[in-house]
Amino acid sequence: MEKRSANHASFSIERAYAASPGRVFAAWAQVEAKLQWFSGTGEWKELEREFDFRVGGRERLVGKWPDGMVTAFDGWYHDIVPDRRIVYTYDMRLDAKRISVSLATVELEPVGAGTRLRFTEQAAFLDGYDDSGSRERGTAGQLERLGALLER
Amino acid sequence: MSNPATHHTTFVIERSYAAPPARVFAAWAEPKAKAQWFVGPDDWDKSNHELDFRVGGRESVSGGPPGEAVHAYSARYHDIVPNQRIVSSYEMHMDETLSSVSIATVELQPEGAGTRLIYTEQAVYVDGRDGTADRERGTRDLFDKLDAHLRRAGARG
Repeated sequence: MEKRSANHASFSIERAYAASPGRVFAAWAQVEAKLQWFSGTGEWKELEREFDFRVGGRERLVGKWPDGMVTAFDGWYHDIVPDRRIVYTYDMRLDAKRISVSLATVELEPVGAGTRLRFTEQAAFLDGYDDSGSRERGTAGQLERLGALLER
Repeated sequence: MSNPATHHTTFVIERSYAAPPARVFAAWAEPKAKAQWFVGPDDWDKSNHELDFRVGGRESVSGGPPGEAVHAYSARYHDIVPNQRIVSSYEMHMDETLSSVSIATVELQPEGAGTRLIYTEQAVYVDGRDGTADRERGTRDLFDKLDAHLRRAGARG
């Protein structure tokens, strides 16, 4: 019998944006804005997307990378406080294999005319999948792209 | 105006049971078995327990001290490996107010003729209160009830 495992980890990232909490929140809440920063990069190709931003709603994003690998994000919204907080859980799959189940908290706080965003992820990585910080780096990259979007 | 503070916490509980992993797993997977032990303190009012144990399936139960806030548990199953692992996420509401969102991982490992259970809960509390100590105590009580359930079921078998 193959032995199955789970490794638990968490990380937190803070970013300061010049935009107001209302604009930062909108970039998470509106599909047109979100697809500009929450997606693959380069030759990544979107295969499937669902977006239902409300408590109890779900989000799905499936894409294919140039090497043929298919990644799937499946998320569920648990808590939404406009301009302040979003809590969701999500599964990530590489090809057909579920590699993690995560709890993500996005908190927005006004700082002057701008916003401080704090992203906290608590994750269970499954079956020896070695994350080695790639989730945190990937999330940091998305938050950079979010910042570039807000500056346009 | 600042946000109500959130609290991100993790706790781990390890227990040993005399029953083999398949019997411990069944106590989580079978609605009639789980309803035997996945309940609040004896003096609490209780609702019906609903369990649809499959990936994507839901579970709910609620209860509370008579006349006080209702603690409502609502879960979704993310990952199930028979006899080895169960990963779920769940919300706790106090009456209508969301209190916390958690990921709960149950790992079962054979230990002699019995089972080592490792429970890891990762949670965010969103109502300004860090409920970790109560949650951990309540979860330990549940695992005592699970032990009693396994012993009763074992005596019958």
